[in-house]
Amino acid sequence: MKKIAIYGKGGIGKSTTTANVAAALSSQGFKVMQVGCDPKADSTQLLMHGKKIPSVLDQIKEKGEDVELADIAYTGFGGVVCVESGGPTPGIGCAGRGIIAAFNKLEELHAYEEFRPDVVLYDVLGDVVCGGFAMPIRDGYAEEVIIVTSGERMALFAAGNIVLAIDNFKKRGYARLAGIVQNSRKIDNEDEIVRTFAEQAGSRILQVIPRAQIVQEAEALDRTVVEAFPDSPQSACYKELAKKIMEGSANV
Amino acid sequence: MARLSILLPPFSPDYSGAASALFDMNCLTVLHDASGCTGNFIGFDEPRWYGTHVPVYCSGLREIDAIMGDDEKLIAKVLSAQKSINADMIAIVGSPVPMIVGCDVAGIAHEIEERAGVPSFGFDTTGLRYYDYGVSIACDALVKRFVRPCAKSSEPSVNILGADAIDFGITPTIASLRRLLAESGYSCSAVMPCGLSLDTLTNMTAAHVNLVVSRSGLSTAKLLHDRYGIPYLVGLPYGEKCIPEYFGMLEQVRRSGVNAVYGISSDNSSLRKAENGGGVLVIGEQVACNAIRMAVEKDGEPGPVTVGCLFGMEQELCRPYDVNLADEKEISEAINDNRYSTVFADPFLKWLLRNVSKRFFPIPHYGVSSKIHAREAADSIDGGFDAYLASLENRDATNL
Repeated sequence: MKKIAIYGKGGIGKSTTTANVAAALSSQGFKVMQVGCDPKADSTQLLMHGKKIPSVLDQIKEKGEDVELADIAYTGFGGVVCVESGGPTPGIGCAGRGIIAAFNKLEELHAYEEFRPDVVLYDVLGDVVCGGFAMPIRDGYAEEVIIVTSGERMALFAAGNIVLAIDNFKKRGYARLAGIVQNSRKIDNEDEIVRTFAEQAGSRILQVIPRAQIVQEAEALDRTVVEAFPDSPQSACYKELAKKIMEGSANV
Repeated sequence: MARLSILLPPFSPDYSGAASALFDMNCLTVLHDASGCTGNFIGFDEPRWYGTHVPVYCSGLREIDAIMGDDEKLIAKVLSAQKSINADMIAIVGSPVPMIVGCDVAGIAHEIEERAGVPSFGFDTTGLRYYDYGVSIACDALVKRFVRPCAKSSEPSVNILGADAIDFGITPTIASLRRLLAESGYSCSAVMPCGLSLDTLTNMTAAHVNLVVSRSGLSTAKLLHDRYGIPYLVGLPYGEKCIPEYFGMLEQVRRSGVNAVYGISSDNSSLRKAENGGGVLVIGEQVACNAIRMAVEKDGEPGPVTVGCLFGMEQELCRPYDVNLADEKEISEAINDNRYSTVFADPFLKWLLRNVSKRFFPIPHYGVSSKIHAREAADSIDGGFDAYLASLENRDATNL
């Protein structure tokens, strides 16, 4: 089982990238599980064709100890097992602790043993903002981290913080940085800026995803590009990234 | 608010169980808390604390450390302490505040081990579970880390698992069990966790059978069964009349290699549901309660005996109609249930009893009433429980 955490600044396109990679991997014959780690609980919406699934934390709140695996894991496009950790309403509660509670529940219900996925993708909110958001890269969870960024200053700042966190956890034997995915925003010198960032982080660019209208068109259909426009160049780009991840060429 | 305790104190929590399990291991144990949890452990949950020099410390967690996640401050303190203590191992034991802020105690322990060069453990205890869970995870961690395959003992041999200080307090029950084992031709490879040493721990696989004497030992027994094929017997022989049957079962487990539970199968009335005031309710830790049930039945109790589990219930240790009592409300409802005319439980639970005509037999448990009733707890093995029952029969139990 390969377990990968995908981090990046909020709004940079992590969920779109993750869902497309999940769809691409499933089309290549892999059993995939995608775990959204964001209180918004919208990581898997494209795989679920727009349907918002109940989050782990909502189900714990409602059903207490009676929560079953079927209450929190749903099958999306290509048989991808979709899970959303969920979290509190903005302004109250503790979102980081929420992720820990959701992960503990997945363990308790033996989700990984039950579904036996080839790949688990953790789609994690924005930045490593507290202990809870680092949970996906702790011991026993993701072995590799992929950072999604554009060439924009704030996206790179968030990416830099994630690199710092990974570096900090290195002495604990946790996840390593597998590479950078450039989700292009068509800013000046973007390729050069992101390449320089990757070099400074001691990493490399795994894939450059061009900015393309077709992504928005697929989202308007509540579909991933891989599902809605399987023969498009954008779909081929996601499939190439998926292939690199599975071949292990993502390792730096 | 369903789980609110109005009359009863909180029972011993998981962090106390973990710290207690490491008490004899020359382990530098650090409770990661502001000091309240450490106070609970040394003041109320660990009967061996006073008069010892076991290195148990409080991390002195403060608000700013929790907010900033200043793990390095804790690591530096531990490394500094280890320089002077030179412990054989180090443990960081979690508590509610680190749990809330998502402190990575396992990761901290990993770093400490790298830097101190001694085996280190991080236990994700939260204070939200009972002591038995803490004992279990600590013992499991010790087994995973230190136990190695070794040649079987030439004579019949057992390990005693779940012999923790919170379940057995200051009673000589485990010593009595060891004496009975010796008289029956069994040597004892290891007693875990009370009295455990690195040497006996490492050579645990020399034993033929694991004897599980409390629920806290069941997880470790399963681990040793899965890894090394050692079968286990769960149970205790309380009351002299139980001893032949118990040792017969032990011998059967040794010869067959098939796990067994003493105290749940019976051909007498106790497989019936208690009705109309004729029943007996035994409340407490599940394995001890099963043992009391067997002793009471062998003593001639005609009515059904039901076990009420105070710290959690294992289905495999149950008879039909046994109940899990998850909070004070459930305990109170059970203890006042008209189906039961007799109750065995910790003396503190008597505060919940509304019907004074019920017979209440006090069975102190350190995880409930701590040192307040510790000296009243009996040696329950080798006739001790029979003497206890006889002494109680001669006086008005409700006035105890």
